[in-house]
Amino acid sequence: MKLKMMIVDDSDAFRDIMKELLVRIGFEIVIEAKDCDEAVREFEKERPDVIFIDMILPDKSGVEVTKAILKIDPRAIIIAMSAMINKRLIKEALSAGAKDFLFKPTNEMALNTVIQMWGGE
Amino acid sequence: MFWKRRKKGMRPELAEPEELLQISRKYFLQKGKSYIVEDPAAAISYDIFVNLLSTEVGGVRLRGYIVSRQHPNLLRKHFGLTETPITWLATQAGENSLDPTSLGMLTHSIVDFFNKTENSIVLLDGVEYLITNNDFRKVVRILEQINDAVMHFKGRLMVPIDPRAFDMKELAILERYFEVISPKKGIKGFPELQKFKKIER
Repeated sequence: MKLKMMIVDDSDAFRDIMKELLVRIGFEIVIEAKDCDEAVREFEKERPDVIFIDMILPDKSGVEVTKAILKIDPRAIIIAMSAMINKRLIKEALSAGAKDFLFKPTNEMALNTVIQMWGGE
Repeated sequence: MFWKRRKKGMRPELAEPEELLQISRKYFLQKGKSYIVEDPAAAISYDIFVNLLSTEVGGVRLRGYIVSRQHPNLLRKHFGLTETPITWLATQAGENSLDPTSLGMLTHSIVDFFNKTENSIVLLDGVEYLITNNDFRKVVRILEQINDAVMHFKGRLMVPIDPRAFDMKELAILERYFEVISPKKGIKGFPELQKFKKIER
């Protein structure tokens, strides 16, 4: 499939897992970023179709990255991710413009469902 | 019963629905069915459980109950569960704990929850611990009783297991009563996967 995916997460291991899952379900173009600045830079360059953002990043929060990307393109499809279900953080991410939330570590089923729902917009 | 002295909100029969989050329903579990999830760390089982409790489809909200080897405070913190009753499987006495050898009491608490709760789901996490403290046949017997209640009261049951902890014959027995969710098989490992719901934004 031609959709471009982007993963924003400071963990190399998690980016590798996500990349593997995405490739396994048929998405071969996967862009990676480990912090907010890199995410914004890569977004401007690559314009991915779906962006998965960890809510806890070393420099800025995932909510701030979400806002920064949506400022560049308000139509960007952003999926918030977190290893903990923090309802306040999820609500903040959704209010900031994220479309959905995925619990880390995710799986092919959840990932595929989210991409089917939002990726085709 | 062992939970009667508990404060409101901790008693399985008084389970309240969790707060709805504006996220999409990513999984579908059929009413009246029991599932084993081949999920050694139980992460996917909890993801499914929390996703079903935090979303609604057609105005229907599920109420849940967890029986786990993991401490309730840890689960509440990690999964943001405030309303779901949790029973801790432990030899440590306490008002929310249950000794793993008390299989009758365990069965009763789950069956009673299904009996008193509409649109219910139970996550039974720690079946290996139950087997260690009893024996496989005894545990299968209570799973059969719970499965009968699931069918009768149209509940849903999820039991995460580590397939490495069972031999082939034991796995075959479990698979006779349960639908199998097998994430290692990818999307094909999830039964009835097409019934998700998009959130309108």
